[in-house]
Amino acid sequence: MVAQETETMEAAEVSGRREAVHYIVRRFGIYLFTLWAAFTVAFFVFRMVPGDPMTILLGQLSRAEGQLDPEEAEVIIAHYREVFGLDEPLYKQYVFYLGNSIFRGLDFGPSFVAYPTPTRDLIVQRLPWTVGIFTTSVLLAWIAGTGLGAVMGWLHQRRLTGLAVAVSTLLQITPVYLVALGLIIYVGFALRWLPPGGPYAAHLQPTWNWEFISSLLRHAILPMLSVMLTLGAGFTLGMRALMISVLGEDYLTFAKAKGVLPLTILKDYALRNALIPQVTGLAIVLGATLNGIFIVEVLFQLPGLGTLFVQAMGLRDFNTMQGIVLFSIFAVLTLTLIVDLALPLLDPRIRKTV
Amino acid sequence: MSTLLKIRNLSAGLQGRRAITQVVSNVDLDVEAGEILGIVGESGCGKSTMAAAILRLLARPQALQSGSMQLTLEDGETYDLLQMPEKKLRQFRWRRLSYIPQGSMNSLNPVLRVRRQMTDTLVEHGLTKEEALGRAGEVLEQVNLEPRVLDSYPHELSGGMRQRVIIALAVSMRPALVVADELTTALDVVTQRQILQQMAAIRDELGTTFILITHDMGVVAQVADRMAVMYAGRIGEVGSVKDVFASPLHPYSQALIASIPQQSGQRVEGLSGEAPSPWNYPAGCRFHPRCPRVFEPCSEQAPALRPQGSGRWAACHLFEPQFEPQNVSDQ
Amino acid sequence: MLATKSKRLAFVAAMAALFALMACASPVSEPIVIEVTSTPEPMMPAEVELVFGDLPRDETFIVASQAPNNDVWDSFNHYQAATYNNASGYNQLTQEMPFLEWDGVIYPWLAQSWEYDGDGTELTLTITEGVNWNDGMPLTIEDWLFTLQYNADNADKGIAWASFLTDIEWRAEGSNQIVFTLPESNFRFHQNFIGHIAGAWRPVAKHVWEGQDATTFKNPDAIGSGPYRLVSANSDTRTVIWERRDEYWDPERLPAPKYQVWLKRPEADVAVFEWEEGAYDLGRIPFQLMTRMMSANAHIKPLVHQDPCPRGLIFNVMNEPLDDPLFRRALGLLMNRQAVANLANVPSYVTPVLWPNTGEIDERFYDAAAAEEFEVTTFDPEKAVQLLDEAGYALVDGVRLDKSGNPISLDAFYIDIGDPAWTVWSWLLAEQAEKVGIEVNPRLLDIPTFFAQGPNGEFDILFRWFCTRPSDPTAMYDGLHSKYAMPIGERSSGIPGRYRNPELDAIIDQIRTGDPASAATQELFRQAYRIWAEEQPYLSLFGENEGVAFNTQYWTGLEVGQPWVHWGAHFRQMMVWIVPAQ
Repeated sequence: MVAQETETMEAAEVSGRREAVHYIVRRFGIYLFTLWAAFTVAFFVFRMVPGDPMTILLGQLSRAEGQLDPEEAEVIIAHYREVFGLDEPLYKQYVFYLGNSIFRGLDFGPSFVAYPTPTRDLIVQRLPWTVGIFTTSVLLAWIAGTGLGAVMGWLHQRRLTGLAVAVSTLLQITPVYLVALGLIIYVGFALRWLPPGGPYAAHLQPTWNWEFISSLLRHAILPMLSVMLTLGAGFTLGMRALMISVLGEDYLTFAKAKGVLPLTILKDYALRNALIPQVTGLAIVLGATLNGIFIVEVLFQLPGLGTLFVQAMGLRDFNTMQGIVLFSIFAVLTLTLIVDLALPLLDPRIRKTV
Repeated sequence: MSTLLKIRNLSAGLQGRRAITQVVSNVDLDVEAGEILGIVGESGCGKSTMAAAILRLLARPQALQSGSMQLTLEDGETYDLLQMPEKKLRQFRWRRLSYIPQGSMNSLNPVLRVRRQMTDTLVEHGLTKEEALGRAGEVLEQVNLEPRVLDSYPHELSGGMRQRVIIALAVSMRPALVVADELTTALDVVTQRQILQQMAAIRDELGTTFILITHDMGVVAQVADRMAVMYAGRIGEVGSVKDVFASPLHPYSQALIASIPQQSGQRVEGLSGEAPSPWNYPAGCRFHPRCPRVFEPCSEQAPALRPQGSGRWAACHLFEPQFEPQNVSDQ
Repeated sequence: MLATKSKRLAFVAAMAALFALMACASPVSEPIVIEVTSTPEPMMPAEVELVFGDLPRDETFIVASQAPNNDVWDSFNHYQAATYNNASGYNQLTQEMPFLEWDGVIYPWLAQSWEYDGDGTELTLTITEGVNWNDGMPLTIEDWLFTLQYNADNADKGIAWASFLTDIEWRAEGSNQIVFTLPESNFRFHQNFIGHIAGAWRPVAKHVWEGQDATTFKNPDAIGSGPYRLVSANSDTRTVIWERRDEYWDPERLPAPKYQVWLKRPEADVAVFEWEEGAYDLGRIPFQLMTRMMSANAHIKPLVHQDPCPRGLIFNVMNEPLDDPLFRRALGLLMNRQAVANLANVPSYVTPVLWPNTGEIDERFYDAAAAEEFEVTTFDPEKAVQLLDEAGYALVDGVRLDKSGNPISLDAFYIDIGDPAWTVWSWLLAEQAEKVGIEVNPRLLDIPTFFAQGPNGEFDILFRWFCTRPSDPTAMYDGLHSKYAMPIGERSSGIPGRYRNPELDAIIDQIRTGDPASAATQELFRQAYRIWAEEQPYLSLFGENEGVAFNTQYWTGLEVGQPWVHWGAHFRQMMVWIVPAQ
């Protein structure tokens, strides 16, 4: 009987390794497929939005250049139509765009918001802001929220946590732009503690001296705080709920009966289990922040991807919009892929079920 | 045999905002050293609450109300479990008394290897890492598991193996008393039998006392020395398994035994009605609405658990001296 | 105390590490920095308030742009007319044109005068001598010739002010005259050199542009002939700093501010606080916020000027019954123009012509009798009913039917830019139309959709502005030419109402080739006006006065009636009037 069981375990181990490889290959396949599908959907959806970049351009021309001769305007329009490939049939544009994106190193074509800078360069320029300020805030919010949520879940029967839950709930349901505006108006203008907007003081140039870095940090606090407060509250509540549900599990009662130290129970039994869904949540939110909190970027006048997207949308700059969306999708999918591949490390059950 | 655990007037319930709903009421029970005591009853009769109460593992909203539990060890020292401070209790648990919870299939942490889950307990109770590993292998052997089980995650083990790991964990500190709640539920009959045999073997080898809580009369019949029948939070009858099965005193015990399928295709007699929930325990004897032999005092006064001779106890007005048990002879 | 301080330090250090990490991970955008030989003096008297590093506030003019614009901060290439950024100051501070026009008056600038030969096939342009570029190099006729050739060579690259040079020949005459030979008679060729609101042909520096690609060259030092030179441009903070150059070629028109800072403030809700603090001197901001700012900061005043583009309503004549001039006139009589003009952010005026005017309308181009006869500005619902009845639009059960017997229902499209007058006209029209049994449905369009749907002819009634030159109002009629009457769904670059009128076409063709200064052409203008007034293919709605926010704490001198509008090339004209506040 025992021997029999041992054999099954060995067999399971060998097939488990094969399964793991199979899983990774399959998961990667799904990843590529999703990436392509999202790319395609984004391509066609943006082109269904009413408004043609060239007519916007024409409107802009009439504003900037006054009484430009209609024939002259036609020449200009024709040129830009060619530059942006808008004369080609849609399927050709699609194939061309797909080909360039893949084979020419994410070449999304020229941008229209910041012509003649290519879209790729534009995204690369803006990315550090979004990653530096928003991704960092999300990570910090996640760490703080998870910690706080774990404590609140652990002590969920204490009266004081009720207050903490109320505060978190209030913060979580407050739209991030209200928090941002509140911080701008009160901390930025009324109290004058911190600069209310901009990436750094407007007279500075990016150099690695203390004046610039301190300005950068001072300007980063309010936008980071507004993201951290709202997202952190969400993470806290999520973690608290996960924690409470884990606390009801049989293995927790058993661990308590075993006489294991409360700290060990919290760390090895409750937290380890509650963290699994919380990590998945992080991957999704992290990806979404790449353009999800764009309103904060706009309010704080930060030159990140969010601001860029809003501008590109106003000009129907397909190339830039697609580039950003594609990048976000890429980020979300990649993070999800990483989490999916890393989750088995955290949760041994997944190794088997996959 | 000496008495290991003396439970007196134990009451526990659900702590509401204003009132306590009593789940277990005024239980008196003696557990003898080295025996396997079966506690049987229908689902919801308060068995598990009592088990948790003995280990003092009641978590809110469950709460202890009153009573005393005196544990007398081999060396003659006596502890009152209900007076013990939490910190001491944590040390005491597992060394002196341990617990196999209900649903023990899910009682192992899914994200830790068995090794870690066994050694963290042992190290916590004063063993060194090496000692703990050695002990873990030892107790696994006692339940017929290979040491390599240590390197597995719970989900890689079958239900029976997991149950055996739990038993091994429960006896790993050589406790005097193990409270096993629904040890074999959810296992197939063959595995169930093996587990029960291993439990008996451990008792024989180490002299560990077991309280076996179950709803399955068959399980009690297989391994227990004595049994207590519980109904609606109260003990109805206590006695040796042999005696109770041969001649159940309490009408509820009678009904329970009558409901066990016999070999010859005899019709099983069931009880009518449902067991009451703690929120509407009937007044008087809690069994009286379903009792086939109910008479006047039953609905007014709760019968006390009284000795009925030859180590048997029962709580039924039929055996109260002040009431004329006129129809006992009818039986 | 010590503990909190060290904690704060630790936090700052952690943040710094984080940012350093992020900087290593991906290339940071590199805004261009131009080192200027004469940097602002670092030592300032203690009482002088400093902004933007070490610029003294009272010597700095700060412009906060709210314009929806492209986001180009590292390129000063005005050839990309469609895609450059109008908020950087480049266009306003360094780009000079041969002439500038405001309210029908033409001011010489880089050129002094022009002259046609008798039949309009040759134009002689006399340029201003002694001009220099803001890098100190002289601007000579060589630069003019280079630019003309450069533009012509790049005409197919989507650059502005290039295709007009097709089939044109030119030669230099001495050091200050260029003679253009035109293939056919054209008395408007000089207009290519007159900045009306913003654009006109302008010379570029040969030593900068020679050999450069017209579409990708960024002109990083922002070389132009204006009185300012670039100090720094930063695309992160969207801030461009300019410094006055005192060797500017026209000392009499040297602006007062030593420095100018141009920056973009996209979020008006936040910018309003900065305005209240006196952070800016000039800028556009939604009018509701401006009112608020004015009560918070007494120095802020609305700077009113006449917008050079009056507003009108275009009828799509492809849609029944808008094909009927009588019906269109009836709609015009239902339009309470004065009410709309009064509801504009700054009270505005009703005008019978589509060029800016202060009530005195140039009679050479305008037929006042026709305006009166066809009531082009009258609000008279009773007359409208009379017209509708006469034209055969029967009123049945309170519903006006078109000639096929269907109830009349029209969609009126407007856009919302924060000016009530731009939206309220549709509701006023709907209200009046309902009273006479016509359904008018006001419909809001977002701006990109507006720019798509309008030219494609997908509307019944469309709000739009008409940028017409007072000295030559051809543009008021030119867009009505039949050649722009594309089928619905195809983009029209004229006035997109799909209007066709062979009689008007003939007049337009003659006007286009005639000399607007000649009596014969002016007679044609008056004829065209009469046709427009009778036909009303579009309505004149109102001429708008606009207000921008002006902070008089540091700078003053700007008043209503001076020859400028605040944007585009006119800003240069505006700078002449600015003086330091006392």
